[in-house]
Amino acid sequence: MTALGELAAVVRSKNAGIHYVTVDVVFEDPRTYRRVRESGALSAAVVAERYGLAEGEVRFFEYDPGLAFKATLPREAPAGSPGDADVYGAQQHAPLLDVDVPGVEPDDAQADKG
Amino acid sequence: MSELRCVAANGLIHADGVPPASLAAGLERDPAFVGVDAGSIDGGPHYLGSGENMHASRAAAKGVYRTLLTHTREADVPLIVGSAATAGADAHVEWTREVVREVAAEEGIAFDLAVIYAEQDPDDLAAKRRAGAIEPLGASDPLSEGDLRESERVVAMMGPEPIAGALDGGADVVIAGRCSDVSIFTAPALRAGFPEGPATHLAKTIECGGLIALPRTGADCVVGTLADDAFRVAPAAAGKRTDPTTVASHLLYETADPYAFEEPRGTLDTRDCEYRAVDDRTVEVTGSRFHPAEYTVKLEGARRVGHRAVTVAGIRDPGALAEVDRLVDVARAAIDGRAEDAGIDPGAVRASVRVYGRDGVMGGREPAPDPGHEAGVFVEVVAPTREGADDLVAAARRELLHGDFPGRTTTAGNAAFPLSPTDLPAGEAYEFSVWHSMAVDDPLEPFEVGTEAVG
Repeated sequence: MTALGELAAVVRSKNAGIHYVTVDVVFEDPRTYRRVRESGALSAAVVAERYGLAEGEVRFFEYDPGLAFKATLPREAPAGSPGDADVYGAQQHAPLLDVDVPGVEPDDAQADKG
Repeated sequence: MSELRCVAANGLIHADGVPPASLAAGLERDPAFVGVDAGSIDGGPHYLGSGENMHASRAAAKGVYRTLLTHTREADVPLIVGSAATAGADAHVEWTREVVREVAAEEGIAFDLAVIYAEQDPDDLAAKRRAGAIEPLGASDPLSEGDLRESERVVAMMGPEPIAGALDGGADVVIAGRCSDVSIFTAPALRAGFPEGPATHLAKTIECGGLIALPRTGADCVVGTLADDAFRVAPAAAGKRTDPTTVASHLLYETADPYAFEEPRGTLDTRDCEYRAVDDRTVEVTGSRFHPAEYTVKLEGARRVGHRAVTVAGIRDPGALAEVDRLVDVARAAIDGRAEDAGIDPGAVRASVRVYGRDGVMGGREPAPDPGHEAGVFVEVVAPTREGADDLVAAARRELLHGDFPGRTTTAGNAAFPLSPTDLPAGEAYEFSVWHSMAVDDPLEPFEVGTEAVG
């Protein structure tokens, strides 16, 4: 078991308009991306569970041209409204960092990069 | 095969500069125009609500416009600026127009300027609303007449047509109010008759300028070249490179869906695109499609919700940390109690007390709400008047400092306040009031164009 955050080159979040945040998980090497994709470790259901949302609230994408996964989630409050703690939505990605990816080791990723 | 070349400068949001050497290198490629996006909704409703901008300073913004204007006029290449001064309302367009005129006077340069106003008359919008032409976007509620009347400003996000019209009129410099990032770059392409799929995809790829350039250090310009069925992008600066994954990845940035992008004229579809390295500086993209739809413009509005005051404190005492929820509760109760005593309508008060070091960032979505050995408490109160906000935040601060909890030993003070005064007035507070789409028969109808000879 390896944490997604150890395998991905970029894990980030940002507003996608005022009502949603979008989380991007981007890989450097195609092989690791494909292995994570094939592992099924990341899906709309997994993202929903991590954020305490219903699966139908999560838009989930596998984006092969960018070696990336994307999940777009409803914000708890519109961006920048009183009470919103993250005007840019830039720190909403942490729940995905420790998603377990079975059968892919970070050493594999390093070897692929080389 | 015909081609259209353009240069995209980095977003001008913070006015942190356009490197002159990079812009000069781009202009050496003989582009048809230079485009720059000066706006963003990402900083929240404040800028649209207040009429202020996110630029670091007027001097900084003026410096960037000096670079842009002197270089593009020297090369005799049109300059298109979209979403002037962050929010693109009339105040922002006028502010930018003044800066541009000052630079022209100081530099002794002359040009034909077009300014495009995107702010909307509430009466016009109310009529459109009654006619059923306005629909919610995303999770917005249906628009009410009150939303429109309460808004400080409402802007419509223009498509490419008003910009194309300004270019048709001979403008050398176009300062557009609120504008789709894409329209800055599609206006000249559609005017020249290029297919909308590649034109829109190129625009979407270069809207943030050098963000697609590697290494990701410093601002940079990019050069986009549009052909009939493909486009190419390359960094302007000689020392930079890019690759297919980086170019494709830009479609993830601040977007909900990397395959579909709704624009005023329809939807860009990138599902069947291929990204190919031409060399280590150039990527070619094919397969971009565009599905025309009913013409709509996005509407953005912001309303004032009151005055804001804040205070911040640190807690180090283990007993106080263990009971921090109780402290938060008494602080909240103090805000409610003080509001009642002062006759402030509770419905007009918005208060939040957040515990940083535990779940301050993510609140209820925090998967690991475990406090460490210290925590920060942030109190925000919005109330109808400045005095009211000051009063309520002071009530919360008193309880954080002196409130009681089981086992309390910190009878001289529960929290460390880093500021004197401990509480800060934070100005007027805004929220988005309009986030909708409006069907229009004529893409030019919501926008007014002014032209003038500068210099």
